[in-house]
Amino acid sequence: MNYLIRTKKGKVLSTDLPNELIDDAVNCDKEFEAVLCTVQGIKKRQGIIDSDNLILYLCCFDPNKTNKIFKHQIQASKGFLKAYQDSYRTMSEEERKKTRRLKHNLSTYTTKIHQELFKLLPQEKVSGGRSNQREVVKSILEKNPDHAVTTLLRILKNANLIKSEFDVYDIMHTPNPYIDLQKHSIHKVITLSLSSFWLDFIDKGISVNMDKCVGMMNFDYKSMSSILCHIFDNATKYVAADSEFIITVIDDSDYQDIIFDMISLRVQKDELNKIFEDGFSSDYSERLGYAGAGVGMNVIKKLSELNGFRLKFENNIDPSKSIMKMKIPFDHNKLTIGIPK
Amino acid sequence: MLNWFKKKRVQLPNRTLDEIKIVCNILFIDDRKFPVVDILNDAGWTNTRSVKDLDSLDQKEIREAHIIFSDIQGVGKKLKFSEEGLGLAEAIKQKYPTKKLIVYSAEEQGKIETFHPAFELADNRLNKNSDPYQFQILVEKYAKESFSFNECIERIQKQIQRETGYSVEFDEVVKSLVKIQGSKNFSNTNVARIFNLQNAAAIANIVQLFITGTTKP
Repeated sequence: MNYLIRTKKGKVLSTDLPNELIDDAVNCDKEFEAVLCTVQGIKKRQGIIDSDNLILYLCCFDPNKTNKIFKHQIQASKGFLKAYQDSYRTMSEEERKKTRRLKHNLSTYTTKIHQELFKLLPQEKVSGGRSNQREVVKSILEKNPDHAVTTLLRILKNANLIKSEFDVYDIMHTPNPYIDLQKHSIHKVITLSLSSFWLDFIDKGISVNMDKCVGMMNFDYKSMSSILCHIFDNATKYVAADSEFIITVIDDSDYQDIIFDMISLRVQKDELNKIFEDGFSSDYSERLGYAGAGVGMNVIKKLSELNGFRLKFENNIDPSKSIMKMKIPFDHNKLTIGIPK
Repeated sequence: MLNWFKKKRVQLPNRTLDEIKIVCNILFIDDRKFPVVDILNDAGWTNTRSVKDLDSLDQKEIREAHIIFSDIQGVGKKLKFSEEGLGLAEAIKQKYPTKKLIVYSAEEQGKIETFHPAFELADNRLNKNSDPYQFQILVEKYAKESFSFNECIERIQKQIQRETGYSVEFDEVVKSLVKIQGSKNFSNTNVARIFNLQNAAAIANIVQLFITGTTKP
């Protein structure tokens, strides 16, 4: 007995048939028939059953198998086709979900890049067909140097976020991701990731203190820079304006802890267990309209697990530091990522 | 006055990072222009160059290179390797085992053949969209292993440990290097004799590169 599973549109998904028999199998539309196989020159029994958008084809060249037995086997395969259909649908949906998220995030960042660029260089002024395009752009840049610098930095930030999306996708959706452990200066790596967000911190009057952030650490750069990218992206949204964001490194037996200490948007007690869950956004972030798709903290958690980092979020560690800004509460919160020595 | 009669002490090279940047040859094999080449040059790695493909495994650029970055796609065509860049990378590492080879690719990792021997042989691999920092840190790491006093000696210690299972003291390696430098004889036989090894091919390459800044022809 041989089989072939295809979609109703004719795409073959799985088969154990030799290539020369596939065309006949794809063209079979009978529930049962006994025919002379034009390829092998002997009698074969074949038939199909369908389930939603999939078709299971079975054929048999065994002369001792009766029509009755063959028909019975086709009917018995219905349950199998249903199970196959379900898992095919689940896998397709998972793939669609991954691609949808990637597409959504990438189009958000590319849109921002375009808008920042066209804010500086109006589309109609730099559109094609102008022989003096370079001069036009040069004169705009010379007239608006500050705006040009801001635009470049915003483009850099979004380009880094795009790169991080690809890195995260690569690490999380590859069966055996390549984790490249190298020694890095933690100060340097943090500075590199931070540079893309610098402008946002300055705009909000947040002062970033990295005085006690030194030492060499062994980690995979791609994972760490993606983690930092998500931490800083969240920090620019949730750390209180005109406050201090302190990054320190502390040696703790088998780990080197990177601690992000901040006055940031209140995370309520019942939300603490959910903060690293996929799709979760805190109540106050929703109210403020800052919440994204709720993936940032989940990405941080998954990448940390993959690299053997330990991760901890502590909320309201010093209630005397809690503040209200525009009727929104901010607490003294702390995020710790421990890197194994 | 007595100093005149003292035997001149052999001094092993003790290069600064800036000196290492000048002595280290880096080669990119990429069929497309890759801006990291310019970024490395601007960062002081002035002997960084690129070729679109290799005509021969003996061509000057590859012989002189200490660190090689090779794209996996679009290269290895001229030498007709069946798997293009992967075949080329495997051949480079087999011919020049002590040169550092980093393979890079624009493909997602799942799609390329992650179990190809080239990945086992290569010293590292990167995504094409890696930060310039990632390229720089590998260049610095491998250049220091070849040209920095402490790190080269540690590399020789590791190599001896790997080949023989025995560990050799740091100072012992230094003494052996001084002897080799004094003799100006970097042959496998001489290096094997001084280090008391049966086969010193890899060590001889490392030693000659460290002391003279060049590899065997």
